[in-house]
Amino acid sequence: MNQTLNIDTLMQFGPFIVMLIAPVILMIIVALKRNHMITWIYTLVTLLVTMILAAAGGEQETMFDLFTIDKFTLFYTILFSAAGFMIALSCYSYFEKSEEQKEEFYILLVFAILGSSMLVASNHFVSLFISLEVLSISLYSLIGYFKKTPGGIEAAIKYLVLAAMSSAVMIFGMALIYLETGTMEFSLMGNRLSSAGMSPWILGGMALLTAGAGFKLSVAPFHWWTPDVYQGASSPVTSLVATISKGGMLGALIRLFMAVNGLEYPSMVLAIGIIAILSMFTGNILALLQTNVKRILAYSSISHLGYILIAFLAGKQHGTEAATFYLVAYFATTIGAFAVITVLATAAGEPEEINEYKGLFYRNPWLAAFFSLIMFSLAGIPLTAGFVGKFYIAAAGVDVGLWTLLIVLAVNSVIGVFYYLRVVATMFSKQDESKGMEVRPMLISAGGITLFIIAAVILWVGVSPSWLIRVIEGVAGF
Amino acid sequence: MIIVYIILVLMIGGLVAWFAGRVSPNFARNFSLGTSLVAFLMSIVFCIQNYNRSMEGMAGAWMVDLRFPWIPQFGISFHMAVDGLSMVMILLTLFLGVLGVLTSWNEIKERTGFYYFNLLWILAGIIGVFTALDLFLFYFFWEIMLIPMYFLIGIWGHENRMYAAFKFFLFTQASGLLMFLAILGMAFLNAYKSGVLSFDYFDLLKFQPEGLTGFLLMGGFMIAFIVKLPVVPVHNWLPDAHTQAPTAGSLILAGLLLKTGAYGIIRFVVPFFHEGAHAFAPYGMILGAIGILYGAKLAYSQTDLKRLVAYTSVSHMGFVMLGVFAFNPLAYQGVVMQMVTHGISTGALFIFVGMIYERIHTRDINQLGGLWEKVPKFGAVGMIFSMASLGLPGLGNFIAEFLVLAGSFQGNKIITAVASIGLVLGTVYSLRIFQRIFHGNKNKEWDFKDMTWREVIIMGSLVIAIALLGWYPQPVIDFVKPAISTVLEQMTTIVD
Repeated sequence: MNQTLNIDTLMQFGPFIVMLIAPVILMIIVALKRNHMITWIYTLVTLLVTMILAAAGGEQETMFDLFTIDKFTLFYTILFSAAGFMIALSCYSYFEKSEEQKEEFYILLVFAILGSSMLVASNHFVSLFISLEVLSISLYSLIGYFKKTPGGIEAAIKYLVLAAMSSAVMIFGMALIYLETGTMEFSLMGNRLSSAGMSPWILGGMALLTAGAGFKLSVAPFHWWTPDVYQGASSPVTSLVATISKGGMLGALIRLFMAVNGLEYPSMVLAIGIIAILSMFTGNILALLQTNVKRILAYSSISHLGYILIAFLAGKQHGTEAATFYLVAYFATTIGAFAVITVLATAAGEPEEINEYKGLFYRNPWLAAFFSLIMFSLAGIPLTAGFVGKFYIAAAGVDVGLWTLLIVLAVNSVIGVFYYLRVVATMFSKQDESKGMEVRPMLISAGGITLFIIAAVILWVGVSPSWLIRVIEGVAGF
Repeated sequence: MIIVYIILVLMIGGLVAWFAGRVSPNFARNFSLGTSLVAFLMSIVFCIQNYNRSMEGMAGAWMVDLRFPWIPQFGISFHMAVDGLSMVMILLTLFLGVLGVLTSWNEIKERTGFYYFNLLWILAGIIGVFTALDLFLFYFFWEIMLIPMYFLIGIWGHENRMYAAFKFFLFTQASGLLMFLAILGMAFLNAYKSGVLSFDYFDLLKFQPEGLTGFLLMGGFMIAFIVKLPVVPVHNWLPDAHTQAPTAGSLILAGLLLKTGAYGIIRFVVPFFHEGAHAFAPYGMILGAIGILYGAKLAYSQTDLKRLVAYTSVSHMGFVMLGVFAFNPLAYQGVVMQMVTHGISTGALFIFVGMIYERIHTRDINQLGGLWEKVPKFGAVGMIFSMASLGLPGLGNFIAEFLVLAGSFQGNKIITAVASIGLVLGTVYSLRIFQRIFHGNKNKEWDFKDMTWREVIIMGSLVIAIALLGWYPQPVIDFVKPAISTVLEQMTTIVD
């Protein structure tokens, strides 16, 4: 039942309220006295409190007119705020080095996390769109914010234009669906669809909606912005774009498709299946050709979203679980990868070219070992979270007989090994005379702690995943 | 539990060695030697404990059976069990493991700690493969032995190491993924049939998929194992990996990693797919015979000593393939003997070549010659192991190859007759190794020291092992008999 808002139900919004208050306070802090340290600590505390509130708010499931606060929402909220926490943790010394005004980054960061969490909570097109815009507008400013290079500005404008375009496409899709069903609420929409069936309008609406969502997820053929934005934005921001914004969209898509039983329509399944296959191949094959680590990660993320779409297509309880699980693994590895770049960055810039990593193992074995772990997790090698994630997806796929997609997955995992290993091999190869980057000892620092936590998560999930699986099983029931 | 402890000792020992390497390389060496010796002793104790029980037939084929829940949601458990076959392989693994640590003593000069970490983790992975009875766990270990090996070749290998490491990784990874899909397919198809999702060996044994499904699933398993073995069309990675790896790497590749392929076929393919394995048998035997002859021919034409020895592996592993698909006790005993003796004799040849390389930095057979008078100890060892490689009676390989041929003759006479030409070719290439290094003209004037005490210990233990197996192979055969007959009994009951 939809509920009205009173004090009790307001408590359910606890995590969101904390995130909503934080930017206001941050702005006041900035207005009174600019201090990077205070802003940073306040942001971390905010995100920590959000996580705790979301974790505590477990059992009750409440549906409001616009938002659903259930375990699924809360889990994703925890995931996003944890991701934001790690990104914020890793980037302190990175921003210390830059000349820009740094404090606003944290305001926008919290807004972006709020937007993504609301996106997952949405059960209505209106709230979906508002959340999406909260997320997107934070990202527009973030991408162009720190890098006043031509590439950075290009990336920002590219993202702005394309994201606005995709929002427009999406809203048109919503309009078409509204035209036929007369409602914007997911569950009502589901009922009307099951009685009325698929009409061309609905199909067109769903297609446009998928295209808009596909842009945010950066799946082929809506992926064109990804490498440029990844390369152009500063690493902490890229990390944010790669994780939170994609995760939010995926969560929203899962909720929408579960409510309207989107996977019962063969044309939708076919379309998403093709998108998945295209993404896997495009991402992996183009990643082979790159020499820029950030671009490699960009293309690899395209293919990883393709893997997640397999789980998404498997649908039902199992598929949702697999997608969520893989998302956790993907978050950990992606944030870890960008944290390495963040930690290695100097005032002169970020180490982007793969050659700059040559011989890293001999200069900083810990960092190289960590980056290797990330690459192995992305490649899906056992002992890492990526392996269990891939297993989960494959299990979900086998369960509903998506053999074609799974064989494509296997082929792509092999292609993926090529470029992930190339990064590892570069770090292990002997450095030639040309100078590599200077690496400072950084173990006892916020960045070092970030890497340590992420490594622990990747290994822990990789070796003993049953706890996380149990949590996700409880979360993914619709 | 002791088997879990062995794996833990190796893994923890590896981690400590990594840190120890930062203090001093020597500390890392000594520590790894200690670790591997402890593990080896543990396995011997374990073996003795179980020897009598298995002789009295008390415990059936399985001596130890451990099971803990791991990921219960998917019916995955941490299930390890040991039968005679696993036991023999574990002993071989740790024996060669200790020697591997010793061989690397002077060869590895940089990043010693990390090197020993990789070495010990490979051993842990291999023991895991030989004992895992949950298919998820099996795949887990299967991959764990892959990564450290990649590093071992890629960091400490010879001139073309990156290429070789890459090729090795791709071949095994790609074939492993197909096996992974097959494992998933097995588990889920079995779940539809029986209603319980399980990755457990004993649960899946009852499944016996047939027809096209069975063929595809078997193909998935088979491809992973024949790449590792290797069987001729997919043996491509082997010469490069073996040649470029550091000595201990080649030792472990040839001595142990190849055996995981043979083990996989005996443990999984044959029991899981009775019908499919039976249908595949003639082709398997043909592939084996081709491997024997092709490997021998290529071995003969190599000038790089390591590459030469690598190709002899292809040839010797052909016997395994031939014997496995003959489905009779004699051949299976031969296969197990071949796995053990090939591990020792080829391992010894790799160590031998490594020792020479360490001294004169060449593996080119054309630069050697007439070395006997300079280094008689090398000469003696070289002779013993080239004799072993050609199958001289009195050394272990003879028993193995004889049993395989005797067994597979009952299976398929023509193929076996063709395959036995391999023995002649084996003589040719083995004698060539010996003759070109130690006899004939001195192509170059080399001046180097004969074996040190450390090297004498390494080679001495290998000589003793191969001679013991040659004179008295019965304990090994007794040990594996229950395991073999379990596999074969199931086979015959279904087929008949």
